[in-house]
Amino acid sequence: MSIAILSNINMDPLKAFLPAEQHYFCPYGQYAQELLDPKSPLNTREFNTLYLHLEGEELVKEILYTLIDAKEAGILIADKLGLVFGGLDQFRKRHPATKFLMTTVVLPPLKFLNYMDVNSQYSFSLLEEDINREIIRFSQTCAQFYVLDWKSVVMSQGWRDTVDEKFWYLGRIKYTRKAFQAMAREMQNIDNAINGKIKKVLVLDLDNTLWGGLAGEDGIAGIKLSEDGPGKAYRDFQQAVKSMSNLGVLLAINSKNNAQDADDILAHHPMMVLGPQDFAACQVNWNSKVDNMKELAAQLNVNLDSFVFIDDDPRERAMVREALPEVFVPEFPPDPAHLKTWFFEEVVYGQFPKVLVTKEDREKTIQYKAHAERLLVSKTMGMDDFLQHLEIQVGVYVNDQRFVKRTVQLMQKTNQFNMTGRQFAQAEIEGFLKGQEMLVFNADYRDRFGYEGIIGTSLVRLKKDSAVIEVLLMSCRVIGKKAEYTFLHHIMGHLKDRGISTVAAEFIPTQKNRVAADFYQNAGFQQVGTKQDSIQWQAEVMRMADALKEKI
Amino acid sequence: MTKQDIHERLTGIAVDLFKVPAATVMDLKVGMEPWDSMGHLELFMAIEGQWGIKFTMDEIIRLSSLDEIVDNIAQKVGT
Repeated sequence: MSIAILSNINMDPLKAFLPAEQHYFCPYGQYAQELLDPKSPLNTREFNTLYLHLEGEELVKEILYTLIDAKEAGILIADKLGLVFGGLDQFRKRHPATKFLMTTVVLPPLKFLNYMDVNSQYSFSLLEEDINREIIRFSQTCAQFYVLDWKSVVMSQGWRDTVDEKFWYLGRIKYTRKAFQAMAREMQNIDNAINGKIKKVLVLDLDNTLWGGLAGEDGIAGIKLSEDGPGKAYRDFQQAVKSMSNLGVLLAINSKNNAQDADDILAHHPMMVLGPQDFAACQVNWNSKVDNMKELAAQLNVNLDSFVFIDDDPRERAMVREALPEVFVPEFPPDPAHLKTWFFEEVVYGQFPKVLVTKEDREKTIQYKAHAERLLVSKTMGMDDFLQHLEIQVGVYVNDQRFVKRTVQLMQKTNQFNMTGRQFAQAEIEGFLKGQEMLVFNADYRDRFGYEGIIGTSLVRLKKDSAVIEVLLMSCRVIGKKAEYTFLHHIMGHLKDRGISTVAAEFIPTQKNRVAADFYQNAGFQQVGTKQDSIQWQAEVMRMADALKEKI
Repeated sequence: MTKQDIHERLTGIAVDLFKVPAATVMDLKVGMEPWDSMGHLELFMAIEGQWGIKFTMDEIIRLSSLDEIVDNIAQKVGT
């Protein structure tokens, strides 16, 4: 499975949990431009699956603490989703074989409107539902577009176990290890479902599995199976098992019992949910369960690698695992109270995952198509339209005292779009501000979706009528939107005003800054040589200031 | 668990994460490849998972060598 990960947050830790096959992590926040730009890494490689995870709080951050009318919020979100869907649509034309997997959006459970939220016109719970409805509608207009309900995953393991704000503040990592692990597991399950790598037969033991107690000793009157009390745990479990036959799973029995004792209960116990007619095959005898399993496989004409076996007895489980490693034999919950939940968690989602793929289902959804199309900003939206749509504003500050700390921080933290990786200490920067030898540039970024703050730094050493760019970097959040060219343009303009005629620059490759390798060339610099670890560039300030203007 | 055990497990985690030979893992310094800012966070995520302990933001910023981290883990797990 080769997979591309697109997100508005840092998903790097997911890497550790994905199979060691090919994956590509699109720099976070850059999914729209990577989808649209035909030259982006995303577009120039082929992926089996494109995974798109939009984190809710980040998605609606501009309005999360505002009293914004549902209608207005809807427009803003439709605008954002339109960009995503427009991008996906463009991408699909270039890569018709790639499958899409998108997650539902989850907003934090604690709202500033607290008890009012649920029934106010400003409700974020309702906004969350609206967003997810749009995602599902859009998915239904595309073949090979699957939705992973991240909301269910979060609910199942709990918000506090999902989110760790600490790593968010330190590195834009929103989720805990546990959450990333769960996410990778769900991705694998869905991939298995899409590729039909799922089990077909669910084989069950009887005593202490479908009911409490022993058929042979307790008899029909003594076993635990009831409408209330502990016996209800077994009844609920039976209901869950029965529901699997609706999904096309074959049920079978493999039990050590007198057939007569078992049949008596199966056919006549009033609280049985499952009956003899629900089982495609039964082996109730005193043979070994391994032999019984082989017999079931022969009767049903299904390979044993499509079998799941549930048994409360650890020795029986061990024997089957040992002799028939192709059969999936999960552990069994120590307390029957958790049987049903355990069954869904460990067996249903993991072994019998299903996604909707039938043709009829797709056709049913044509009615949604018109709606989804309205959502798209433009079906033919290209990169330039996208950038124009964003209304980007880059502000540039020279030798500004306020940004000294941020400058130091950016030099330490920016690994990708960083031309030299050079670092200076806070005291050195403060020295530069007082002296004449080095100019300190900072850039901030704003577009219609919000303000990103100071995201760029450049240090330019001044000589008589020339200058050297010693540091040039930009946070990868804003790269790919041409903000980097705008920043350089401003720098050039400033140097021009100072009477500088030529400017030198260098690129020092590291393991992480490949994304910046072509920047000086694209910006119009001439390569003038290479030193040991670096590539030297040069440009005339006059010409650059004009050439860059065309770029932006 | 002794400090020696903690040390061994931690270097194991760092070797896996940073993909360096065990012999050189103790020479790594934060801020230098491959121990970059992202690697730093992933290291702490892995440690929290391994020992079931939590670090504060300040600790994560402050702790900058494997030796310091070993001492801090030892404090937290109470050796």
